[in-house]
Amino acid sequence: MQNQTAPQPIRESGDEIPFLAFFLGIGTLFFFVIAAATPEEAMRVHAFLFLAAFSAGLYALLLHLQSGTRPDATAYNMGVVKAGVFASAFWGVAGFLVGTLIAWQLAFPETLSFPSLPWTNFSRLRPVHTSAVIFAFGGNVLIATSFYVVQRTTKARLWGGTLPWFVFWGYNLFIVIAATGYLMGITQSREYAEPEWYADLWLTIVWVVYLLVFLGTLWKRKEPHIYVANWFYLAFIVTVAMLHVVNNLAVPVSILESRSYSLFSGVQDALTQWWYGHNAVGFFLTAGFLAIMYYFIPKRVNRPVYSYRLSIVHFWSLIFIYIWAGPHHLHYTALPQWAQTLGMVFSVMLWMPSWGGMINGIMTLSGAWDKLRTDPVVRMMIVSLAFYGMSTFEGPLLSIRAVNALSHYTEWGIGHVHSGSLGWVGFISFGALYCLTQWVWKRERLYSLALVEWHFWIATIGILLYICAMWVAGITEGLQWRAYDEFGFLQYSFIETVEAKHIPYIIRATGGSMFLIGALIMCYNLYMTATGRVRESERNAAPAAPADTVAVPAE
Amino acid sequence: MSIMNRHKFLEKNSGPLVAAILVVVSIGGLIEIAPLFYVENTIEKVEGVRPYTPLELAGRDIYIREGCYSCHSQMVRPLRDEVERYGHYSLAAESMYDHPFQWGSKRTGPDLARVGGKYSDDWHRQHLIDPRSLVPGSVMPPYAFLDGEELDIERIADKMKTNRKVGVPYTDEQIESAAHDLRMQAGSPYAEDYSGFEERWGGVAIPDIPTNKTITEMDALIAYLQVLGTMVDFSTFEIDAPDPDDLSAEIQTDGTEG
Amino acid sequence: MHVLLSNIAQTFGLLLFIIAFALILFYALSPANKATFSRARFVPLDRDGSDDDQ
Repeated sequence: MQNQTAPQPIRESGDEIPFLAFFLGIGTLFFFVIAAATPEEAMRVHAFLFLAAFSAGLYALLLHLQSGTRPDATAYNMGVVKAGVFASAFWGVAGFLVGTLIAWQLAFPETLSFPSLPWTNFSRLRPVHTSAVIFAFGGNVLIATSFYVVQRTTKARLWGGTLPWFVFWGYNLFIVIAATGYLMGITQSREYAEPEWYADLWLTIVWVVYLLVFLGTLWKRKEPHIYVANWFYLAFIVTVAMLHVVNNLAVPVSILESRSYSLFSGVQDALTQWWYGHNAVGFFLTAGFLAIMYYFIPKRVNRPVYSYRLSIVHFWSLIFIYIWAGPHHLHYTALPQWAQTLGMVFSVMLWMPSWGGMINGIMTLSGAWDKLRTDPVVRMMIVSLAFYGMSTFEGPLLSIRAVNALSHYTEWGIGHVHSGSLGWVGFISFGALYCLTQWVWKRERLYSLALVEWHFWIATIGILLYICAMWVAGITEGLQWRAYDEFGFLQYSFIETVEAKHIPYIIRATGGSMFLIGALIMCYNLYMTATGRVRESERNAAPAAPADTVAVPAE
Repeated sequence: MSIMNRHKFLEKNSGPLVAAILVVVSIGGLIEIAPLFYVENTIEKVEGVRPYTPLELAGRDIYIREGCYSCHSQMVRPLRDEVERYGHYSLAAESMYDHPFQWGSKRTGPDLARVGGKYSDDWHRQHLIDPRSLVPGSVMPPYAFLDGEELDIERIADKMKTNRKVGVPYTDEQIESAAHDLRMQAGSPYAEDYSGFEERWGGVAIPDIPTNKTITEMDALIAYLQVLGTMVDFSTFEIDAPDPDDLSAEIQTDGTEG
Repeated sequence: MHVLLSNIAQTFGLLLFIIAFALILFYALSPANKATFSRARFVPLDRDGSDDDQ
């Protein structure tokens, strides 16, 4: 179908529309009943949210039918990618904002506590922050980029007609339900799996459709080979589905109530949870974003990936090893020791594929190193790989029992997570968002590369402040907890170790605030780029990367 | 050569690729997690561990609702300083009725696995209302609103029934008398079946003097905090941990080497 | 049962890991796949004829 000039383009069938309409209609009725019958105030709020979303969906579908237009089945569906760019930017800022707020709360607890507003408490806002950055920001980046990449690398339109839009809105509805739930006190209190049973069920439906859209697109592809980025996306989608379903097995008190009790308890529950928790890092925050690396870096620098063979070894070894590493979160606990040891061994081994992938990404630039200087977007993505390398070295180190005895439960863990999430996930996402905005809105260049430079430097300094402060705080408190005085008594009371972290807390909150400011600069830049503007002073400069690139001949 | 072709097959067929991914990611999970589900059969029954009373369970729900796990762990590791700071290291059996587990991953505040009985109820109440009035350097948010929220007693029996569905051995009598027993443990004068309570929850203390005040979420949360880590009598254990590795081997209940 | 399963995890599991890794290496490095891979590298860089919606 390439380069075909069809006077009568084939229109999309719209076969899915009756099913979707039926589903949304039934759902609307269902949530109407729930809203009327539930004895629980918070549950009613959620039923109304679902009700509103479903009826809005129905209305949109109706408008779509009424307009009578069917998109060209040979053209790419980029509308949903554009929506994803918007959502990513929005949730990114929202998540960083809540994170910054709770960081300042720890620094100045008295000033920033509001006894009459329970939802402003750290304990309710913390899952809002983690879910907003991981699932809302990260998830939207992954959905948007995967929809873009799978179309471009298969040369086929997204499968399913309106279903990609269902995935987009359905996923964002899940986020809204989850976040409002935490604020109202609806949570399972399972780290990174806080949403209650009905939100989990809803996400499962959305996720299955996501998998179908992705697979459907692969099935009708015009390119024989499935490019490696799609493997990573596929591993991310499939594995997250498995982790999500198993870890959230629970029995609700009733269909009208939010509270549920997990199927597993104690040791089994702990291992299931950290099998989930660690692989959420491995498959959500790593595999998915490695897919971004394997597409966006080669595309942006207009060179093929350094080694395709390495990428295959990278893929299989990463997904095989990651899945074993969870128990390192449970060192010295009541988990049987053999399981702890296995977790440690595999965590240390994980260092190799991680660095293999990093090298593969960085070396893609070989022969074009000047882009690091001339294109701040490329620099951002390469620095993200440097942070990835750093935190995948730190991770195995922290998984060693003796180190873990000191580091576990301390701020060191928080620092480690943020070097990975701010440095790696954040920067590779920002890079992808800069690229996507330019590409899907078909702009010659970004509004301003100088603003990208500002974003890059402010955010980088912010991250460094953050992780250094957390190293200091974590190691200090870890050592203080185990310090003995000359009489053989514990030297510090717990509260003394808390007070010792006051200054690091302030530095950390400052670093986080800088990261937020950088993201706001990015949003402005993306908006100006999408609306087709170029900054006055940069009009005459050559664009850092052309809007659409042509392949260079094979070496 | 045939293997070679098979790999090309994977590269070009998304279905088998998905299947291969599923197999690869399942292996680790299955091999590592599956044995854990047989620990139960060999677990040494630890004397004293019992399901939570209605009031404690209601309190645990508040603990979960407020997200206390964000800052408090419930897992004392067998390390000398932890055992001295918090008490005996945690046993697997102590969280066997915890759906979900609340071991936590961060100690922004101290571990709570053995907080039960360390402070008075009044101390907890004041501390939850205004943490810095008792601990000036604390970074904990205030939970004063819990003292004004009336506890939902009606639903507790259903919650216990749900817990029974996932494996907590509540008896029919315990579930039937849930609301009564909750009131009794909270010191309400409207609960009078003392001997029945004693029969169903032998050993659980109730206030000496009943108080005719509304039972709040605060009361439930405090009851939960006060039972944490107190079910097992450790008076026969040595509170000493010379070698962490030896001790963690000791708490292995599966019989394999440490 | 737990002991048996955990022994399997510690022996068979690791053996499986080594075999799988050998297979992966074999796949990736075999000369027969060279052509496919060198073509696949360029998939993202291909110019394609399709256009976007709208």
